[in-house]
Amino acid sequence: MTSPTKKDKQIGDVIIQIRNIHKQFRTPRGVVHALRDVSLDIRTGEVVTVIGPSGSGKSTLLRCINRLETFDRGDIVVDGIPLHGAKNINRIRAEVGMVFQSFNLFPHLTVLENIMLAQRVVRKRANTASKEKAMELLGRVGIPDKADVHPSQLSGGQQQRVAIARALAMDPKIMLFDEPTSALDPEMINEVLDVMMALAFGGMTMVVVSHEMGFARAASDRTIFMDSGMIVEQNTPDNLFDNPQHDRTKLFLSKIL
Amino acid sequence: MGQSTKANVPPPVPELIQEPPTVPDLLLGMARRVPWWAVLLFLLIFWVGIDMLNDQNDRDILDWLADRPEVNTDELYDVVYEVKTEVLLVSETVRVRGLDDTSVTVPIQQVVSQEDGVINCPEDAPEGCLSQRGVVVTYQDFENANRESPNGTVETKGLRTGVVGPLVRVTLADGVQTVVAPNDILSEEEGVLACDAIAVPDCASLSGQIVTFNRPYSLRQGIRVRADARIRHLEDGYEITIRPNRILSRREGTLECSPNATPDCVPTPVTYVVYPEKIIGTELRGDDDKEVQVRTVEQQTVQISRSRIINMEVGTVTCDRSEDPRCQDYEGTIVSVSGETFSGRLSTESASQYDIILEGDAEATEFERRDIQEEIRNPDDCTSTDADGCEITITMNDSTVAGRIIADNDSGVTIETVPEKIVTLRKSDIYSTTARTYKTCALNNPRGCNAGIWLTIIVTLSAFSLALLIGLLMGLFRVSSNPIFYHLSTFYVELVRGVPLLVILLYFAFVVSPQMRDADGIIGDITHPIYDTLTKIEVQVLGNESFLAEAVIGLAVGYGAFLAEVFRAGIQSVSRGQTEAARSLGMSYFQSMRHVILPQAIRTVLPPLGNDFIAMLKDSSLIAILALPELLQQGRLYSTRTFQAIPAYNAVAIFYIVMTLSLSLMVRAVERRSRLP
Ligand SMILES: Nc1ncnc2c1ncn2[C@@H]1O[C@H](COP(=O)(O)OP(=O)(O)OP(=O)(O)O)[C@@H](O)[C@H]1O
Ligand SMILES: [Mg+2]
Repeated sequence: MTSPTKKDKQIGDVIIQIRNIHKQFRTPRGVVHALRDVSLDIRTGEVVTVIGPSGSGKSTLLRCINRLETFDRGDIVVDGIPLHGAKNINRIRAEVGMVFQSFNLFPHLTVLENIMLAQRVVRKRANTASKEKAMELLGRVGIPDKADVHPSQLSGGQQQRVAIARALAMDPKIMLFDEPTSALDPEMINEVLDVMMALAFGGMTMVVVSHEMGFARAASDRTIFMDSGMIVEQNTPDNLFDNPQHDRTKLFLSKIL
Repeated sequence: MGQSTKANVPPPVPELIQEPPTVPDLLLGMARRVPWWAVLLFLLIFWVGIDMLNDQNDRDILDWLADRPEVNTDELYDVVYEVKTEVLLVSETVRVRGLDDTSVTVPIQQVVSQEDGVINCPEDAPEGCLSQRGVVVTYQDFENANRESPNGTVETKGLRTGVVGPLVRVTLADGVQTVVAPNDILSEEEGVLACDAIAVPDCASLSGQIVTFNRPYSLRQGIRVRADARIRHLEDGYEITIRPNRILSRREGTLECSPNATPDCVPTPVTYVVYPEKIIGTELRGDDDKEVQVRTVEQQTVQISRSRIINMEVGTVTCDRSEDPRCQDYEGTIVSVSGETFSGRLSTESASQYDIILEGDAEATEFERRDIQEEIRNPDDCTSTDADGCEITITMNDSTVAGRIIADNDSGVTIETVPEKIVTLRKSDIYSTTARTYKTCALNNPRGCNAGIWLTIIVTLSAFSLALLIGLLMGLFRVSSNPIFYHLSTFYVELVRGVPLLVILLYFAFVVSPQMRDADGIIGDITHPIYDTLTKIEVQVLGNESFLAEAVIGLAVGYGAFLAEVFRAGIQSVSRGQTEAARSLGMSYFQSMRHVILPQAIRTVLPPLGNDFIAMLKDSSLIAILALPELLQQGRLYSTRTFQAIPAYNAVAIFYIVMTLSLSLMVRAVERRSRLP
């Protein structure tokens, strides 16, 4: 019996073009240069993992892709639409799903309502259609029995799976994951990674900030190492992990391994 | 991959064994949830509630509070008794309007039928005749009867008084004169014609040649406009008109001749009816369980100083029947009084009135020019605009005071202009005492405080709703990234929070409102329709123009600043991640506010909002300064009128406690409910 692997899927055209973007945060204590001249192309169906030390700008890069964070220079083109000065950013955001480290489920709504809300409000789907979709996704992430409970009654792993289902409900073309497992207890990490892996093998375009090397090796096509706001090195995960070229990469890998 | 999904299923959690709670557990749980102070205060409320239902309690409580059992609390009540009174039916008439729009009053004896229907214009009707719908009355018309072809005749008796050509002139029992054709006469004999003793009391009967004849009539139709029954009270003899449908029962009887009637008087068949008479007055305390004494008219006295009396003479004092239909004229004293003289400095004058600052007064007093008999100015012909001022002495018109003298001494006389009137009612005759008017607000008459409580509630509710709108908007502005909105709302919040609410209220009533009224026309016709609408609402609620709108807006603006901060804190208490999650799903700013942020913020802000609502309920008492008759103002008025500060302020305080306590318990319950699982 062969389980699916990343080799079964098709890699297509470039869907995200990141061109020389810069990002500075002006804080009372000074200017933080979070991204310096970052350029990156991501193709349809590609799964890119981003690693790097804390404060290296991984989250900022990710958040720039759906413009939760604005950038100062350069441009990002998502699915043919340049983000710089984009008029209808909400339309682009609906095409780009995001999963957060801290889940960010809506605590006042039940699991089902969490997944239905944006479908109804943004996609203007009928109640029945959005409910059907939500139930189907809950089945896919393995918790169809938790539809009517509130998020606070779920375990961390279950919450993150609901968050993934909530993002998938919008039928996004791209999924962004910002350290989806780092707030989880070790025994729950795998249940989330399993869902992500199934998604990756299904052909979803994904950008994943994560230090889960097992996931990176098994599911991702490319791994990027970032440090101090720059892309230092990128390669296939196996090459990057086993045969790093830069000293900073070697130093970093020696710390996390 | 090597990981199988099975390995990730968490081990089954042993199920908690749940036993149903026992009844004592439940009761204990409920008892624990109610705070002790609430129990205490609800006992108080219960006491007030019982008190509201029981008049005797009202009195006992007042006596106890005032510690003066001799205090008579009766003047607090105005009771409307409906008493079953048997009266003599004098006449019953129907007012009928014909097609030609003229109306006639038809005695009920001449009415043949009354039913719903239509009268159509005859074919030869003049132009403009409209068919009419309503209660069609068909009646016998004697006066304009067509003698050649009458619709019918009625056998009638009359006294022969003369002859007109071939016709005989007769006088009927009710005094009406008519002529009779010789062939209509049935018989004629010497006798007595009993006069209509009901219509004309103690009338003399007519004796002479009595003619019995067929009186012809024509049937006519008209639309009923009104029906009246004239009734005479048997004991007091006064007559009033009522609607016939108020008559409860009828009884045929005879009216005996009065002792001083002429000897040929014959008893007359009459109809007695019972109708519910309304007697409005204050109940006097009486221990009798068969009768109740009601003071229907309150005594009024006037004091006149000796120097102003021009003339005093004995005469007939006419009473005001519009006040009391039972009242009768009486012998009393009529006093001519010279007009009083006032002097002071003329402040302003107009075609119809003077404003004069009287000696020793700080403020001007108004005088109507038509009440003034004479004026002397110093310097002569000075006016109010003169720089040196204008001294003026005015003498008011002479007047007369009529009534009974109840005190006469060196300093002057005291005249009872309206004598007190006390009616004794048999309790068995009382038909209903349901309708009561309550004039005064006090603990022993809590229903008298209704107006005040309602106004307090209305003002609080409307001001708080408005404040919620302002607060929500300003709160959203306060977290807005738009610098204009942010600074605008911050300015508003800081400005309004720095000014006492009382000052805000006065400011709206006496600065903003008049200024905006004056701005009408300058900034276009904007303020005018707003003022019109607000005034209409004020008249709806209070019956007159007042500062109600200003009070509501002032309270709302004052509280809006606090609520803005509450909303701001509530919105900021929702973590940034929530907005990011919502926005990352493609929701707009407003969608994420509406569906994600505000529903969560509202749970945080609910308790402070509840507290602010309670605070506003209490602060609504500040509007008493704008003379609005809310709870405190009613209490104050009662206190100054009756000098009974204790019950007045007790009542005010208790009503506020009842309201705020119920509210705070409600807020707790809502808080418990809205908590997230
Ligand atoms: N909103 C902000 N305001 C100011 N500085 C910020 C903000 N967000 C990020 N930064 C700074 O930008 C730099 C990059 O941050 P970023 O969150 O992208 O790092 P990261 O690689 O995701 O780190 P981590 O692994 O800790 O999540 C950091 O130095 C951080 O302090
Ligand atoms: Mg990060």
